[in-house]
Amino acid sequence: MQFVEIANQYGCKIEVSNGALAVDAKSIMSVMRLAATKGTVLRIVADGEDAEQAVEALAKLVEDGFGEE
Amino acid sequence: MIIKKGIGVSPGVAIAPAVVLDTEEFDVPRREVPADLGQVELARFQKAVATSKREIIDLRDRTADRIGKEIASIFDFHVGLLEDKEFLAKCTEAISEGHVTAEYAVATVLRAYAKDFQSMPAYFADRVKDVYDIEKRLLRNLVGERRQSLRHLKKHVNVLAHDLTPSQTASMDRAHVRGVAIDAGGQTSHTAIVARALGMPAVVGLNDVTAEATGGDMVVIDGNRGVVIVDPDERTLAEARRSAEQQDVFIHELDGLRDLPAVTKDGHEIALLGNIEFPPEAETVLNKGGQGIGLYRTEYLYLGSDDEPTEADQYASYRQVIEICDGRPLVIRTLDLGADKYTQARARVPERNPFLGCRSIRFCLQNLPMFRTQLRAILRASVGSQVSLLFPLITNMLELRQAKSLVRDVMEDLEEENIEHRTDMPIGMMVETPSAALQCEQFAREVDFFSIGTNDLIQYTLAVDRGNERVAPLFSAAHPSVLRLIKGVIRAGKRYDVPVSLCGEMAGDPKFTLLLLGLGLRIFSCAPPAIPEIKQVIRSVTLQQAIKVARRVMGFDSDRETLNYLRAETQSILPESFAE
Repeated sequence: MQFVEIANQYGCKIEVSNGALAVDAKSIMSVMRLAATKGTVLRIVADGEDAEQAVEALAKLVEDGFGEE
Repeated sequence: MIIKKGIGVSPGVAIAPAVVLDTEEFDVPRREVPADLGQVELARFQKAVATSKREIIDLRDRTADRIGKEIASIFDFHVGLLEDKEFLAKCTEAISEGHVTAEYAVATVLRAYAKDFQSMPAYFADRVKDVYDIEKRLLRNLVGERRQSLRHLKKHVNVLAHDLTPSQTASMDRAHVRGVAIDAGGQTSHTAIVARALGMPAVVGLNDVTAEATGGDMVVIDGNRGVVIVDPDERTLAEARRSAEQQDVFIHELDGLRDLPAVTKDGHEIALLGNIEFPPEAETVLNKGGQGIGLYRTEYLYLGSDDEPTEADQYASYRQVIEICDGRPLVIRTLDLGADKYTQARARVPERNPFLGCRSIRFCLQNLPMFRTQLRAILRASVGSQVSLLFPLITNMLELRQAKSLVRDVMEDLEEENIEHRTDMPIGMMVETPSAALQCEQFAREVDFFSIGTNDLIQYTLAVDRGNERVAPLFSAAHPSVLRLIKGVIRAGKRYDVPVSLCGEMAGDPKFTLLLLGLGLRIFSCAPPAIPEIKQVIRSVTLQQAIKVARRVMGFDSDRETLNYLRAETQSILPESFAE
């Protein structure tokens, strides 16, 4: 949830993938489909003006352990 | 073209496109929406989403205060879903391109999510519950919104529903709702009563008509034959239109009887009155040629809202009716609620058998403050009028005496408070249970009048639930036992000089008029639309004829025999009133 919230703070297009499926990082229902649990490797790709900040923020969140999941 | 047979409870033929009210069950049938109404459907969806979001945020804030932020964050998921781009896009697509209802779109999209989650690891599988929760909430808001929209319609429609609550029927936009077709219900359900009062064709007990019709389908509701036709072919539609026209002509002819007296051919005067639920209907009774109000059902004052009506509210309603009656007889029946939402909601534990439970007068005698308020309002409003007070569902002598004593109590209070009130109010009781009917001789000595309530009397005597479509055919006013009880009450009334009226739906059914006259009934009170036809029958027969019919009928042993005979006899007098 936090992941999606943060993703939505940025204007760029953001895609996240678990290797098998790539979805829109700004849609909670899409992200949930990744069924990403502890240990899953996520690939975050952003395209747009604030792409760099977006990826940084999201990566940090994942590294910090999400807080919720 | 689909033809469904149910029970015709209010005569007439209505032809109009359907509005289908879905039930609040989990099964959302696939309903199509005409392409040009896609925008409307989309708007409904968006509105439901917005409302649901507001509800959840409100819930979350309140829960956070009470339980703690962590638990409340569960709701964040709900909000997140409702704001989710993919979810919204999928629903929008289903509605605008799939041409389905908002309900169906929501159900399919959410269930697809639920299915996906189920096959995922624990955390996600848990979210399935949330998804269903959100679905329920959205559906509830969608259905609720559709119910709201029955109040403001732009064109003529026929309403098809699983069931309608009294307040829904009461608040329907009458100018545009032409007819009503219901899955549930029997002869004298609330829907039937209100539809009859409004002169709106209605068919109930159809079981699953809501599954067979889609919003926008052309539907014919034939309240005479108890038939509903969905999407009629050309020929059937033409036939239906002709039927409807004939009805109109017939009704107009009967309206000419308005100012003529209800007198038999051999000069016996009969009192013909009307039953009402809402004050404005009193006008209708008089317009149709009724001589007064034989039954003012006050429950609708209580069903209209969640709060109990105040003494002032009630006083105003009673005054309204009294003024319309302008000196004509008016019988006000005290609260006869029971076996429904109102009393069940106030019960600490919902009753398992509300029909035999704490309803009506019993409920009133166990809720004295509320009952006193009603009695005060009635006594105060009745100053200088011809109002009589009627107690419903009296089953034993002590009950009656207690109620009467309460009236005296209330009068004393009003005396002390120096408030003007009626001091010589006639008090009567409904005879609507076997116990009352069988003990009528003794009751006759303690009341000023009787009112036979055949709707409930038949139910209790035959042990049949009028609202249960599986046994509704067993419910019959023509049953020999019922007739015996009615005869007994009329006789007791005569012996003790107590006027007897009959206010059940039987009074408004022209095929029973001859029989009732022959059994000695002189006061009929029925739904306003039925008044002209009953007057017509009365004016077309002699008492001799009626007595002969009654004698014959009392010798029959089944309701079917009686019904066939009565139909034949009445038809020979009034061929036009039988379209069958």
